[in-house]
Amino acid sequence: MSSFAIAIAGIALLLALLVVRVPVAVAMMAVGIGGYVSISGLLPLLNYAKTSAYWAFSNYDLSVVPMFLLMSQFASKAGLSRALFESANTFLGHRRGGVAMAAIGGCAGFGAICGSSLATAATMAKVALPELERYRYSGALATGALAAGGTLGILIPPSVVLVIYAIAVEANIVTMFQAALIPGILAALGYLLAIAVYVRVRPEAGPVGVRSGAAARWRAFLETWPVMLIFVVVIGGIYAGVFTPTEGAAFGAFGTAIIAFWRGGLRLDGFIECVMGAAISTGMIFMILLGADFFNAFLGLSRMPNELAALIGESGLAPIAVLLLMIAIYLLLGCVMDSLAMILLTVPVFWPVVAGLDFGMPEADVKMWYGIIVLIVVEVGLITPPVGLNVFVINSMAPNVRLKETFAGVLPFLASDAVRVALLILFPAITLWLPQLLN
Amino acid sequence: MAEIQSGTTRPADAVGRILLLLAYLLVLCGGFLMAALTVMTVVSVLGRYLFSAPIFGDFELVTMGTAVSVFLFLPYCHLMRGNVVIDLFLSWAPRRVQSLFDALSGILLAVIAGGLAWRMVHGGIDMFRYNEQSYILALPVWPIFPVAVFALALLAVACLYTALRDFAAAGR
Repeated sequence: MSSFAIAIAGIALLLALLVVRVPVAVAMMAVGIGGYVSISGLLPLLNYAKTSAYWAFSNYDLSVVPMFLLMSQFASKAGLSRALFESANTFLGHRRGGVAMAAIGGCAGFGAICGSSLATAATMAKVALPELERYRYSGALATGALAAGGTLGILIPPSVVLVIYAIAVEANIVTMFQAALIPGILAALGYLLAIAVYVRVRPEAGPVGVRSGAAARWRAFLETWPVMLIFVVVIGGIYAGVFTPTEGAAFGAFGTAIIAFWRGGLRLDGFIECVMGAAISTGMIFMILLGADFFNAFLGLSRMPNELAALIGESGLAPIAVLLLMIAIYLLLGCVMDSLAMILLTVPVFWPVVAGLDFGMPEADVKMWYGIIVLIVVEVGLITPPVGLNVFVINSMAPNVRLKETFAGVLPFLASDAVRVALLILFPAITLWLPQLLN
Repeated sequence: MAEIQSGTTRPADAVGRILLLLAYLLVLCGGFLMAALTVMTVVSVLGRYLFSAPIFGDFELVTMGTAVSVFLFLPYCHLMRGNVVIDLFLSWAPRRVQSLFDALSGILLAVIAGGLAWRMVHGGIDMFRYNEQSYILALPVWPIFPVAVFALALLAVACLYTALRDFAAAGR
């Protein structure tokens, strides 16, 4: 069997293992090890495994991951979600659908200090769901907005998934974060627009809330200062090159911890809970990274990604058609898979193919442009059936809303996502403008 | 961020409790190491800008410390069933069938983790023999390996334990 065929067989076996509930990390390790041995033999593998796990884990760029996770844990215990939601509510609440818009605004603000989608959705829902219920918002709009709003946590930097993508394609994490900012803000605006359109069709779904005066708006806005301070220090500092992403994340974790102690009533047991939460997420992510390390070693040996890239390059397929095909694959995988695992699984094969195509941009630009598109598309999996995780979590927090309603409520936001992805594909400048300006 | 396997149950029997306690101690050490690295990084950056006196070789400490703490996280992560699985295709199947497959993947991970622990014993010996050091602080690398080997061995045992429990659940 040629190594190309071995690689294809390996990928098929991997998918089969995933179907029978083998954890993603274990399936990648098993197939990676098996493929390595069948191409190079046992001895090279035994040699490789002596130190591979150590090298896979001791990477300075990766140390940003546990620190961002720590930051997300503290942020969700810092009591900042209420200030964010109420501030957004004073500005938007008087509009039709305004309270749901405020929930989106709150999610966007929280996403600026939290790199996780689920944590953003769940933290904001605790504050916003009772308010949405009080103003008699339809269950579909209320839960749909929060489930979709959660995905802003990943799009707006900091973002753990984006860090993993950057490491997988050997991109600069700093410029990746810069590239994500404008698409992230665009996402928040697109979601607001989706609500505005939705309540025009269904006015009874989103009644108007209270109107606030200028003074109340200022007061509420100033209440959110810890979020702004942390965002400016962490993300601004990383953008400006004051410190590395890891150092920024350390400041973020430190700052959110202080605010959680000071304003969120965090005590030692809560602190341990946060550290343990971050530890479990870190363990989970690094386990998949270790799996990806073996899997990539196997794919690298097989040279399958390069041959596939050459094959597709010669086939004369339009680059944009290949890109759309990949997006379709991501949407399919997103129905059953977690976004991080999806990126680690696909990028080693997809990135060489994309890099080999001519999109009329330098490779560094394609890395950013493609990365942001992938980031959005894998996040769509969090709000689509059958296993949209955000949808399940938000729905479980709203006991009198049926699951079907929440999935229906997500639809306007999915439409907004589709429009945004189309815009980003057609106009790479949306993604590339800020990194080019700053560098 | 990722799906936690459903049906998280704390082990109730003696073996399970000891494993969980050991794994908990490891994760606690790793977690506080992580927190300490965070504080050290903040101190180092402040020192760099305010007093132009950063902590020497801070990023090396962060890199090596992260590696150590990640190894320490793994056994607990498995015992709490923190692995990402795809639940969809077997969700129709009876609980017993699901348990059987979970048991098989437990065995698979036990073999891999055990094998990795065995190989890292030799990796550590190599590191010791060739006196591998970090670039700036000249810290020896080998002491990380015994920690990693212990954590991976515990992970392997924990996998066997959960696999046995899953087999028992499948047989019921």
